[in-house]
Amino acid sequence: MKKLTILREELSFTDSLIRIGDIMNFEGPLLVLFEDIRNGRLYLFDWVDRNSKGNRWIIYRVMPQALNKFINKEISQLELFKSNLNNKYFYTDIARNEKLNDCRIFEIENLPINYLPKENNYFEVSESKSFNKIQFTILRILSRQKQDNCISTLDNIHFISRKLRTNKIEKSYSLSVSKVGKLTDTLLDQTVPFQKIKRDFNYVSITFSRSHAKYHKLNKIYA
Amino acid sequence: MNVRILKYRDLLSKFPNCPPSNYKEISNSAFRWVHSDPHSNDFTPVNIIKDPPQRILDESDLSCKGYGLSLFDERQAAVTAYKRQLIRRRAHLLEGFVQECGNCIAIIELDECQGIAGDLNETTRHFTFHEYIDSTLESKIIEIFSIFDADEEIDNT
Repeated sequence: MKKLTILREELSFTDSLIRIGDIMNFEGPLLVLFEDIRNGRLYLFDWVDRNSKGNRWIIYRVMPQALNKFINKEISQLELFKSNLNNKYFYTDIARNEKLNDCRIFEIENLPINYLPKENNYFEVSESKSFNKIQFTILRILSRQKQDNCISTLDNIHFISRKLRTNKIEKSYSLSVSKVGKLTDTLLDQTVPFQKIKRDFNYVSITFSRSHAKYHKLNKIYA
Repeated sequence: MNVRILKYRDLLSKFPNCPPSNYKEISNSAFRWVHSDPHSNDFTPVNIIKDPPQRILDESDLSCKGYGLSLFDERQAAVTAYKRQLIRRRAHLLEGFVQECGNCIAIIELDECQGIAGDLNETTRHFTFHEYIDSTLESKIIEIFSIFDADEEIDNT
């Protein structure tokens, strides 16, 4: 197997990834969907290499929108692969007689070009295991995003308020924040600083830096 | 009544309801990927094959079905499934895939003495077959043909 340049070890996945189902399986998994239970992020484990000692999996984050398009055959696996939100790729080598829990996950510097999927590789439901669970998970996360009125971009996170009741724009906004890592809906009242604020006719859009927002799921904006 | 014993009985007993009670004996033609010359993997279940190492993420990948053999009930379905696997795999893995699974299809005449078959997937025409301990599917091959036409090559791009 190709030697990969490691950027760092990814420790945060330990214990927080749960397997949702196999998007492709033939006599064993080929492309597997996991969810990070701390934040609802979706990760794919994509089988890319093997030798006499074991198998290699590339791990990358996908947006539920892209995955939904993939299972609806609107995009290929290559397009799904390239839709990776933050362009971060991880890998793990699982040796014979080992399981994922025995292995370490690393972020890699560059992805070898031969690890890209083929252009004509499209989803087939007959090759999927636990398809209903996969579909339900995607729809559940999409639905939650819609409720949050949240638009994520690479560098910043934008939140658009629900329709304003007044014309007044406050200097600071009180945000209802749920702490990641908790599966309960416990809400904590916190004030989070924002970078930019834009007034539209009926809505206010607020931009937060990722450093402020990434550990929080912002649920609601009170204007 | 003569009770037939399945191959890998001790390993099957580790799983509940393995093989499932709806598996039944059949008398039919079946199709399986094989090598052009006899190969140790041709009729070995995926859970038993040691080389190459099996793709396993967790215990759930070591399923009951892994001790059965993948068969198809139609010739064209076996060809289609094989060619689909060529698309699923990265180009550098194709040579290994052919070494592992062969590049031919054997037509096998199954009878009640060979084992029990699981549910047929109506889309892929695939089913899992658990062999009896005294079965030799190799001896039931009536024909082997190449998956690829003489002028056809595996697309490595």
